Amino acid sequence: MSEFSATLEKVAKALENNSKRFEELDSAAGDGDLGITAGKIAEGIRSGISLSTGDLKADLMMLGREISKSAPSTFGTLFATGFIRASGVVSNEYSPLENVQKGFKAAFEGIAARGKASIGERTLLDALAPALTALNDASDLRSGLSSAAIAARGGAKATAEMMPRHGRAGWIGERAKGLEDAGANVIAVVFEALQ
Amino acid sequence: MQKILNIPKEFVSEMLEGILQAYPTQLKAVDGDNHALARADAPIAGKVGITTGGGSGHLPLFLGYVGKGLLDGVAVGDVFQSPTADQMLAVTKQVNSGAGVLYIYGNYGGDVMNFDLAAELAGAEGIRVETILGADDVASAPKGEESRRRGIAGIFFLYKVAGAAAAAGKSLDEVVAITKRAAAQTRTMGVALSPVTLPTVGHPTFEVKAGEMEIGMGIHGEPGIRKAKLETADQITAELISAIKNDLSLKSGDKVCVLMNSLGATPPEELYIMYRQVKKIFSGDGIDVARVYVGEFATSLEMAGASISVIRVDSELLGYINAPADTPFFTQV
Repeated sequence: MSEFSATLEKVAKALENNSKRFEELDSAAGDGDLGITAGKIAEGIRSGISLSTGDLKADLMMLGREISKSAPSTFGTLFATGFIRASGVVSNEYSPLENVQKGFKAAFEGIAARGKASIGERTLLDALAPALTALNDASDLRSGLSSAAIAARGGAKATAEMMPRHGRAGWIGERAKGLEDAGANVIAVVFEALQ
Repeated sequence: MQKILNIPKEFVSEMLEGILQAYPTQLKAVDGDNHALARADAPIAGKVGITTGGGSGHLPLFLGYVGKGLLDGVAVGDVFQSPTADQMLAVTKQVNSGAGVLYIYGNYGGDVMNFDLAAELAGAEGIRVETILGADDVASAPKGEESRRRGIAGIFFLYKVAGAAAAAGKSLDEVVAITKRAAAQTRTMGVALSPVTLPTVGHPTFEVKAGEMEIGMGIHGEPGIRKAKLETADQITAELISAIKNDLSLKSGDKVCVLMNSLGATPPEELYIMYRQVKKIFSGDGIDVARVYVGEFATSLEMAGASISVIRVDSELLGYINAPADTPFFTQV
């Protein structure tokens, strides 16, 4: 198994290991299916790994396709969109750090556009944005991923004080405050598995 | 739960099997997936492909309008759930003849995300896809915020116009322009008299009390704009038509088509009682009703209630609405 595939397997495992936590957070403010969705995303990642060709661009597209098939919920589709958009910008010409920076930037922009969301609206973007900033400030991949994991976790924690605007949490408004956003937690778990 | 079922979770797959067996000469499954359906003769050479999709539980929406003069393909989700982007992509590839594909579906978050993703993936494979959303439900967002409105029964008029224009050989750009015009002129208002039970849940997931009604309730039980004691047919109809007239700024001399839709349990008798009042109001206002449809067009399982859709037409739009169509659930000669 390539290093890329091994890293993705770690992400899949982390999503499964934390599905109970996602479910709890999502039941409190959302519709409670994010634990199931995280498991389905893990399935999609594994299916993508099994079809890997070793070409980063093709593999990211394949991962996005497989995730969108296995996890067709709103969150799953946004997660898949991240991979598909990253596929569009990575290149063998770039260093691994540059690919990670460009890939996550494209993923962030794609997810924000498809989800019609901005920073500060208590979504997964609030964990992804600080992680992206940390990556952009880094001089090497290892320290970049390490500080991105810390930044993503910090971003997820900060969502507890944000007023929700999207999904079911958007309807219940003030009552969601005090709890961290479930989707932002998924992103924190992903970055912690990547480092 | 008073439903004719085998295994609740097989509700959609068994329904789809039955429909494919009932209409084998009109519909086919794409790549062996019954959730991805196309006209049996798709793709039609040179014709723009018109595609839709959405959750199950709304027959004849969405799959019932796949056929001659209307739609080319449909992706079918579980009850009240979006189909997957992958199913939509499979349908898109099946119905594309090279002339491009137009997606027309209701404005719901899950559907929009999956269909946008499908359009992106189709684009990567060289298929041009355009999208027009059904957003006709006046009750779901105020005037000025039309893009937030949900799509309900009025989408029938968009299908009819787009389908007829595509059948007449119009280009993708032309079909898009005509259908956008139709969308801008279409409004719907509904009233719900009872909740629905999802087969896998077994009990109602929202409430409409006996003897009450909810004006503007969505077809998945989304909150409406007014709950009240059940009123008379004339009172309800006057409220629905008044909201539509104001929103469309209908005036004397306008020509419209009207669609009286049952949400599932309300019988056609009651729809005609309502239409009598629609006709009376429009006649009094000098508004000419050029064509009326009465029946089930967009339901919500066994929900009692009705919706009224109105489209303001010119001679071009009326020509497309009057054009022939032949599908499993809708035929017009």
